[in-house]
Amino acid sequence: MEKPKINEIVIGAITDYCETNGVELAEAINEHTPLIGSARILDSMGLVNVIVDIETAFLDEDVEISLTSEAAMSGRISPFRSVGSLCNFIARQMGLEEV
Amino acid sequence: MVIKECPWEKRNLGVHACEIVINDNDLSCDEITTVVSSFDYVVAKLNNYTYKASTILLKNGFIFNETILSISKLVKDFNICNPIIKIYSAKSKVKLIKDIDEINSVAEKLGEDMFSTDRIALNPHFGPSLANVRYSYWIKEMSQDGCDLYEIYYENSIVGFSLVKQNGKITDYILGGLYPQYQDKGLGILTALVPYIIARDNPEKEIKRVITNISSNNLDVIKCYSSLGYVIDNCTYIFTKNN
Repeated sequence: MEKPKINEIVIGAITDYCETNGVELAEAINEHTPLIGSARILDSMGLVNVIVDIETAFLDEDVEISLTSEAAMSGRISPFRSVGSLCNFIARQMGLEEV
Repeated sequence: MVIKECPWEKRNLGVHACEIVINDNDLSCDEITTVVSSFDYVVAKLNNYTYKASTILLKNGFIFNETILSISKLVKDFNICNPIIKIYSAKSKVKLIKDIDEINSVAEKLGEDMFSTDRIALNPHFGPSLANVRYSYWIKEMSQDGCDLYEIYYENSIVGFSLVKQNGKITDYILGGLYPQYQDKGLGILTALVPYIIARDNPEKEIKRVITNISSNNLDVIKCYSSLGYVIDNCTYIFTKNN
């Protein structure tokens, strides 16, 4: 799987969640969209749901990733800082170079 | 109306405090005025909302703080096929803390950022620092008074704690939370999942039902519990007055 496909799956899953759950967005989801912190677009339950949705979306492509690993959840620098950092985290799990 | 002095708040908050529990229409303006004049800090708990009681409290200078939602769930109703429960519970476990030094260590991990939405933290007369000191004392005292203190493990990291009281087959989840460095990282669901993990990891306790109280001031926590299917059993309306 190439990096653009990873971005497409992640952005698609987050966009789906936002549309389904009435999350109002100032702009379309992109690599700079924050997932945690004061400017985050999701509350804590929203983040949990999106994490599970993204794992499931990759499983549908026959790719097993873990976004709920200790490394992801408790690292000093969280992969959930932004959509872009999350895509990079997934790419590293899949052994891809960051683009 | 039941009036209960709270001498421990002198140490916790530095005030002469009392709590009044109002069950029905048993509230008179004169009674309230007398109580208010005798204490520095009064907490009024209204078990059933009535316009009359609310008006009397507001006329006496009380401020509405929060609604406490008493919620519960049967352990057998936790759906382990739910992907959230399945994924997060598989990576989580709890460890009972009994040693007094370890209990004190847990209590001291509470920082200013740990509890920021409770009525003490939000009260400008007190603030988050005093709120967390109060919870630290609470953990130490309750742990030595029959409650069980657990630390929550997520894989190999200790991410939070949970204080529970066992009443027969019912576990009352009294207090818990994630340590500050693990907040805002997608682990919030653990706070609502911990009672299930305690029941799962301690089968000898035969826990059938978990109960807890959550504040209307913390919408994130409400969403976590409601997403796991907890039901609301009761509401208590909290008013306070600082003199």
